[in-house]
Amino acid sequence: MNKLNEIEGLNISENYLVSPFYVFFIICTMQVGIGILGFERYLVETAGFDAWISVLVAGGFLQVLVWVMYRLLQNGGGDIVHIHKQVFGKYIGGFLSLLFAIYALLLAFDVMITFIEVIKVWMFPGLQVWIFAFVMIGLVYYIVSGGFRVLTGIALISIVIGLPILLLKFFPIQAGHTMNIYPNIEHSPMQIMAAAKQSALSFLGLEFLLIFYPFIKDPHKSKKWAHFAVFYTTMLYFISVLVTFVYFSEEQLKQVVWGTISTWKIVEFPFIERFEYVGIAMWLYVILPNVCIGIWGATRVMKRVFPVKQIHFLRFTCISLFFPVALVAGRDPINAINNFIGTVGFYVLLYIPVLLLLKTITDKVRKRHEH
Amino acid sequence: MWKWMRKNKKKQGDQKPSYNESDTLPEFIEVLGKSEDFIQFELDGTTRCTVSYLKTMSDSKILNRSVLTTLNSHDLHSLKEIKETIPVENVLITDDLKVIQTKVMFGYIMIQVKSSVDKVLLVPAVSLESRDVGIPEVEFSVVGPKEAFVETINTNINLIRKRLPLPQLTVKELQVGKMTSTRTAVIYIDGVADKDNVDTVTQRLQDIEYDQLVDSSFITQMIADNSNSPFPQLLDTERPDRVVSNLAEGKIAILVDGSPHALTCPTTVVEFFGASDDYYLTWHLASVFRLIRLFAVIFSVLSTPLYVAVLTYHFEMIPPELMATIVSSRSDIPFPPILEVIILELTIELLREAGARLPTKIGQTIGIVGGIVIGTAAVDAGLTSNVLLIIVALSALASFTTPVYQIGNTIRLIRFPFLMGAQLWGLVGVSMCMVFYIGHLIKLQSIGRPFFEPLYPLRFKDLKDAFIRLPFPKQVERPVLMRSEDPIRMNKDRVKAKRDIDE
Amino acid sequence: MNIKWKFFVLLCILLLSAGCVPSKSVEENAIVQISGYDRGGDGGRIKGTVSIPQYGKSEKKTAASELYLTVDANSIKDVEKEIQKQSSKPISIGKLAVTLYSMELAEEGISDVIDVLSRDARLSRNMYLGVVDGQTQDLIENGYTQDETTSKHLQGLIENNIHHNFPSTSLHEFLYAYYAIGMDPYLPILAQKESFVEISGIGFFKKGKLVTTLSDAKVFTFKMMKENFTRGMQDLPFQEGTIMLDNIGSTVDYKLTGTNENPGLEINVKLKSEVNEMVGVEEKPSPQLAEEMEDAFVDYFKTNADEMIELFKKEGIDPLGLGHFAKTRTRHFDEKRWEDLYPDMDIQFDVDVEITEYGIFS
Repeated sequence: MNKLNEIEGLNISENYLVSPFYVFFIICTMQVGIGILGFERYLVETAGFDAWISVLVAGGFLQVLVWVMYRLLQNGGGDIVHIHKQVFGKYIGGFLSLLFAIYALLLAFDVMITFIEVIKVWMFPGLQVWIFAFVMIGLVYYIVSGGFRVLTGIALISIVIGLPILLLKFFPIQAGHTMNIYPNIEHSPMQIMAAAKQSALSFLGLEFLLIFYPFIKDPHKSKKWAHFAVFYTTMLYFISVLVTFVYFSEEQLKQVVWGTISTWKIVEFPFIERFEYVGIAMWLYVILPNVCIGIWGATRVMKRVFPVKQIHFLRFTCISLFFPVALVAGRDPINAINNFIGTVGFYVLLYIPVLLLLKTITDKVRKRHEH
Repeated sequence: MWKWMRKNKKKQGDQKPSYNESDTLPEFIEVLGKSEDFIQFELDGTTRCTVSYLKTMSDSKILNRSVLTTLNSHDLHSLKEIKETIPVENVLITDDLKVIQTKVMFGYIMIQVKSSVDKVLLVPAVSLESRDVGIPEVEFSVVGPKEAFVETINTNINLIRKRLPLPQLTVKELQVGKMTSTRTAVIYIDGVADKDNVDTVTQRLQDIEYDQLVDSSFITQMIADNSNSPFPQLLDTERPDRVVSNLAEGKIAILVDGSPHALTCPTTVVEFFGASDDYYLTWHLASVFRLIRLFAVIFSVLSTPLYVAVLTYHFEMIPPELMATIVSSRSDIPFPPILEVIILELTIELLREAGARLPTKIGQTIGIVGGIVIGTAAVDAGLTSNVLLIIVALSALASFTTPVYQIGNTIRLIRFPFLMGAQLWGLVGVSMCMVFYIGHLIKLQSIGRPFFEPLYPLRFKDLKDAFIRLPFPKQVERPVLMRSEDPIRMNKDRVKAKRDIDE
Repeated sequence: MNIKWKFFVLLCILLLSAGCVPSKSVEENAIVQISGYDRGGDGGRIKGTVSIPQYGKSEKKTAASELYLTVDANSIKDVEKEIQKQSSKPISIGKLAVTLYSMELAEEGISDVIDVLSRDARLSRNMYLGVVDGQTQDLIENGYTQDETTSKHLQGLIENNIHHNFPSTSLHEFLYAYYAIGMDPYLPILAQKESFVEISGIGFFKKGKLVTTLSDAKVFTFKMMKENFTRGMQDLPFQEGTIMLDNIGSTVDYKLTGTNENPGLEINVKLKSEVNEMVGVEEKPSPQLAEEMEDAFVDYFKTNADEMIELFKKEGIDPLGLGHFAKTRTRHFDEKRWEDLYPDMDIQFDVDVEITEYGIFS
């Protein structure tokens, strides 16, 4: 039923496919990660309280990107490894695919160290990082070894559990100064675009579609879900930005490192106070799919490039991730890594339209040769 | 590195395929002859033959009234003549040693004549000693039928069939267990149940390589998709009504002779929290009770771990009003919260275990006396805080709300990893444990069907009868999980036809 | 199972047991709920006083007993360190509910304290700050009620007043105003009156320094100008007696007027209220009387508000956040210029009082 099946290495048995509907959850959960806990500050530094426009601009750009990706994949693409092979040939294509795999790994790595940093700052300053990393990577290994279907399930649970946390936005709005959001565009388009680039970094994760596309049943039907997912996350980020803008004053927000966590601090119920502890603990559900799908994607690409079982790659990556995760510590190196990966991710996003262009050209050339 | 794992995998092919097989008929009789209850005598009257049977298994009424009377009053010379004369149904003549052996072991009377050496006549005279059908004790319900399965498979099938008088109700019988040859029936409705499911179940039953099969719970463990999971992957019930409604949904039931429990599959995790009561009450009530049960289970698993996490690491979360209560109740306790909780949890488990082993009446007394005396004494002695005592008692109580006994045991167990997680990293540890269990549940399968079903894969149609139970007119379709061959239960249009006012 | 697997599992368990974050459970901590800072004596720059509630065994839990510790130190974190020396249990400031500063200290500036409060992740943002007219040590150590700890009492005191006459305040709001452009923070002033504490007014800050105060009687007017609220009372001499106004809904609206070069502001307040005390008023309630009372209140509020605005202009502070408001309505808001213009700015205050009820007896 699926024309991808004809491509070698992409014939995935029916049992392991997921419905197109789940594309929504996977993309959402990949996009919403650790970034949402503290991205407001970086936006405000560049574009002040006009940053909400940047979020919308970034969202619009991502919608275009989804279209590009589907175009790329539907034109007999399959997945990124296959496209690379078609466009660049076996060796260069393989090399580029490996770079993509490394990028996926870096993303997973980044999410993990940032989450550990959050836990250290907000909960346990004396956390034994290497033991925590050990357990967390063990958990990731257990989930990833279940295959893509299990990952989809975790993604679904992550979104479902993440929803109630959204409702907590009600508390800061109540305590907020709604006049802060009055549209009053003070920043130049350049600044707003720069902030849009900044916010695009929090939106990373979309590009994994290039890897898991063959796992979707009736992939063409999933397109609307992907667009909807991007819309949903854009709205999520948009609301988060607005809420923090309402809650904090501009100069104050520039000094608040984790804006969203700080807004949880005022949530109070008769039986529980100080919701940030619960929020951070629950955030594990949100970031875990990021890490898992990141590692899964990386190992999947490696499997497609080299003829070795994925489980071996998985073991290898888990062990090799453990040491850097356990060793990296401190605000400054983590910020540096965040920025680096953000920049890399931005270029990866830009690379996708380029790839589409190259692919169209090679297809045309090839066709002419055939004639 | 992984080489050492493979060492164990050496095949052990030198075992006998089955214990109870002799090579010849005389050999079989000789082996049996060593038992005192094997009777063999020759009739020298009008009919000359040898009658042999197991005294403890055969019904002496049939022997005396039908067999011996006939044999003595008629002049019969061949097995065929005897077969025609004896007034018992289903008499058969065979030379198949395997059949002879099984039948005799079940209580058939074997008649041999001199003229034919190999062939024997088998007269069914099985004595059916069984308990009367009683009321369900594990899955008690206030309304609804009060019949429960017993240890005899025939009675059990009878209990199902009389509720489901359908020719399509198919009973496949297998003999499982190399020593016990236990009669095991796979029951399903042909045309409703999915063929693949039936095949999977039959296949797995046939593949069982174990010598004894004393109870249906053996089967639960042996044919489970993941036998290392604490979650039971087949639903275990003693209520025929529950089995019947499951069959009608397209599920498959497994009955085992000697076990008063039926197994149904494929099942999902939410099914373990549904009681048969839910269908006997109106849907609002049933839905609310289901939600209460679900909440009780969550409370039971998470309350003590949260207590440990909050008191050990996150006491900022306690509101000031509660702070005074909690701190003053804990002020003289010499142990850290984790130790306090483990001591108390183990005490409760102890009471529960002791109560389960003792006869009902004493068990109850022990439970009450133990609970009150030990609890009060522990608080008075300053070993545990009374806040915790309340929490532990409530969580124990909540774990009893599960309608299926098996999952109750699971809930007892799974809170201990949560406790460890809570002690390790507070709420993050609890969260990690939860993720692990969710991942595990997503991975689990029941007869190849997803165990975490209406949640993942997310099937809104099946959510109609998961956490809430919608009214019957809404349950038009059978659950998607079963991939039923006939998914529609009733005519949707007729159900939905609406009357106008005053019509 | 293989021996190696068992060994591995054992190793994991050992590893995990080593992974515990060192911690003491709740009752083993000295939970500081209130802290106060005075100007230090010889021992250091500041003098910190904390109160730690002592929870007894369950029977006696109604009676509140507290432990008061006072130390001299050089900085806020130093106070914590010094107090640690006097405590048998580790000090935990996670549940700090009220922080007080003496008037002297507040006049010198509390920026360093604010920095600590906004930096520490363990602190609640709903904490109350306050300025004490007098010594915080005396106020904390006084002990007010039998069945409440001082912190709970003070917390309740401020919280209750926020719901009535006093404008809302908390650590978060203080920080918001402290960092915001065109907005200055304010805090309640607490004063000890023999055996009880009362909120005696508002203290206005400029860049972390207390510059001026407002007495209790004018707080209602300030709150009216600051935020929408539904409770609170204000009395007023009327004819030969006194009338008491009971607010049932007040809304405030700011409006930017004037040009960009010469901006002005309008503050419009709509107040719905009941009058439920009319001591010494001979007349029967009637529409005319209501109108008279309304006019009297309008006059009173206007005079008060204008005085207040003049005071703010004179001190160069903006607790109402007018600049902050203007910033959201002006393109390229120039903070410097606004501050220059502020003292001579035309700020109009207008109030509309509507009296709807006179109680159940006339």
